[in-house]
Amino acid sequence: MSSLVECRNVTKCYVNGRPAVYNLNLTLEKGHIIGLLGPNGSGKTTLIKMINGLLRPTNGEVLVNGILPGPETKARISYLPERTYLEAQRTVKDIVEFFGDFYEDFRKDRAYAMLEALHIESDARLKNLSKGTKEKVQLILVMSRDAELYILDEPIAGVDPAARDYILRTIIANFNPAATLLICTHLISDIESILDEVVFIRDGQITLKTTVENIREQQGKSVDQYFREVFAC
Amino acid sequence: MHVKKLFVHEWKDSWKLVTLFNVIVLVFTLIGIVALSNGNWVDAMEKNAWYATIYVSYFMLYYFAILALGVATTFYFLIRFYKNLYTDQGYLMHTLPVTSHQLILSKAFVMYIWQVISGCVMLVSILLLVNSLVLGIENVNIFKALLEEIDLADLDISFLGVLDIIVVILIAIGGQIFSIMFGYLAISLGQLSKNHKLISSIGIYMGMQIVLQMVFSFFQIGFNLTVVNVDRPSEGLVFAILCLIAIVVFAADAGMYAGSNYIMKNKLNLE
Amino acid sequence: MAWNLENDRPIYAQIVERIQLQIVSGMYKAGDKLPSVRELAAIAGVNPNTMQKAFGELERSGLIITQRTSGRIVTENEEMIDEIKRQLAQEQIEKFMEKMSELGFGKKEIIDFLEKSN
Repeated sequence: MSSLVECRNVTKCYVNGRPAVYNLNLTLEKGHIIGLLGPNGSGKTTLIKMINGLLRPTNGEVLVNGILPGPETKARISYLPERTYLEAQRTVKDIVEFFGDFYEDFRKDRAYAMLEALHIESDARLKNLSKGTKEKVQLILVMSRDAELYILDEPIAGVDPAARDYILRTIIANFNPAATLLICTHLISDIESILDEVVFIRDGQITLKTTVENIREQQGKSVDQYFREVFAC
Repeated sequence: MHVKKLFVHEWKDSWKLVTLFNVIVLVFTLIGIVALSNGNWVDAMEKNAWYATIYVSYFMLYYFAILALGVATTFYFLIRFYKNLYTDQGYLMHTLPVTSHQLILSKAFVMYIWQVISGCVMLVSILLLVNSLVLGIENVNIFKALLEEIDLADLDISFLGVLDIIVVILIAIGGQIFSIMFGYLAISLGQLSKNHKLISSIGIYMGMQIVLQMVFSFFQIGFNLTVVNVDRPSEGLVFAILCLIAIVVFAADAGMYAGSNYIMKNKLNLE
Repeated sequence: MAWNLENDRPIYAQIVERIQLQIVSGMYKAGDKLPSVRELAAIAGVNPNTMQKAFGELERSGLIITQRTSGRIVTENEEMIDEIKRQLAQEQIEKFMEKMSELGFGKKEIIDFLEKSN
């Protein structure tokens, strides 16, 4: 079996309110670049958190490589959250070393090469960096791993177009062909051309899972245009 | 070993501030020893208002330095625990290939070591300063006097007495761990709140303190009724009570640890 | 810079055309070595699997050849390149003629027009 992530009848309810994810089934295969697309509040982040083991489903199960999320799966998943998680007092170099310490698949030389290409001083303290630069640092850290699954939550939202190009190129050039990349975003048009597949999520359920080329062939329009139609208010 | 790496990083990220507070206390102690050992300062204070002001300010600052060290060693580490694990930084810490046990243990161990270090520094500092005061005024060295008073050869400690001492040390260790786990549990419960995680943590911490005080008084009443009424408690009774206290303390430690771990593992609530 | 891609058609088809154009225009000459799928995907800003699919298409047409040792090269068959060049030119002419006839020009008028506008 080449399935990497398997969600079976997954439901997640928070304390009060309707379920964020409801009876969701989804299989992600190895070796694909997949866009997880959905409007705000559709359950994207909840789903991603469950795959990363930050949340436990209320019902159903999420399996990564056939096992429940835990230290073994975390060692194989490289996750870029929407939030900035870097401790302000640390220097860029400290955090690179930190990643090198904990993740066996982390490639320090790659991280330093990318930092240099984007003119980020490794001696700089994180508190002195702009928000955009911090996001670049996080993306570099995440892409410097040889993981089996990369999960990027809004990877390009706060980054300027020039750096965005570099980052997209870096993603394509660096990631292992056997790895899967799950990109969660609402800026579809910018990343559409690097995706194999798209997954539409709405009200905590998967409404569509197909390839980009299928949408273009059958609908005669880009995923971005199609998305706007499907999710039109 | 991941727990070792977690420990090393926690240590590297936290040692500077606590060390600073410890050094401040030690510097104040040194100043005190030099200034107070010589009895002249009493005369000087009486004669000159300026000297008086300086000495009074010194005592106040010393008091604050000790207080700050105590507060810092507990609350600085508790705040680190909260920030590292239950705010945005949690996105990094909880996606490391480690277990919640390893996260809690590594942090608790660093905090424990610093509590012991700071505790020793405070104790030594206060002893030295009191000694200097007495030396200055009465010209008596407490340490020397004590050594002369107590003849170790005269001490007759029974086997149970030795065990008592060991159990008391265990209780001290368990009590220290108690203060750490108590904070961890309060914070872990507080982060379950939807919007006001920090305030909830503080509220729960204070609430738990009140409950703890009540439990203490309850125990104390029971203790007064049973043990103090006995004219001369037998050695066996003292030992049994000490053991009971030790068991209760460690059971509480284990319970609070398990609670924090359960919440971190199953009820993580990062925004 | 990423390649500009149209929205309404499959991406791989657009890549095929783009590479054909690069070959007939002489950017890659007969026998030249081509970048790897991954490199070209990164340059174009497209998914490597899509680039792979486009290469497959070009290989089937014989325009590019995979060699065991040196990767992919442009065919050394210059006639084939010329043939594709003519095909592409033919397509452009057809499109042009269509537009011109929409404007109401006949074939003769168009030829006259072309000679004058030079």
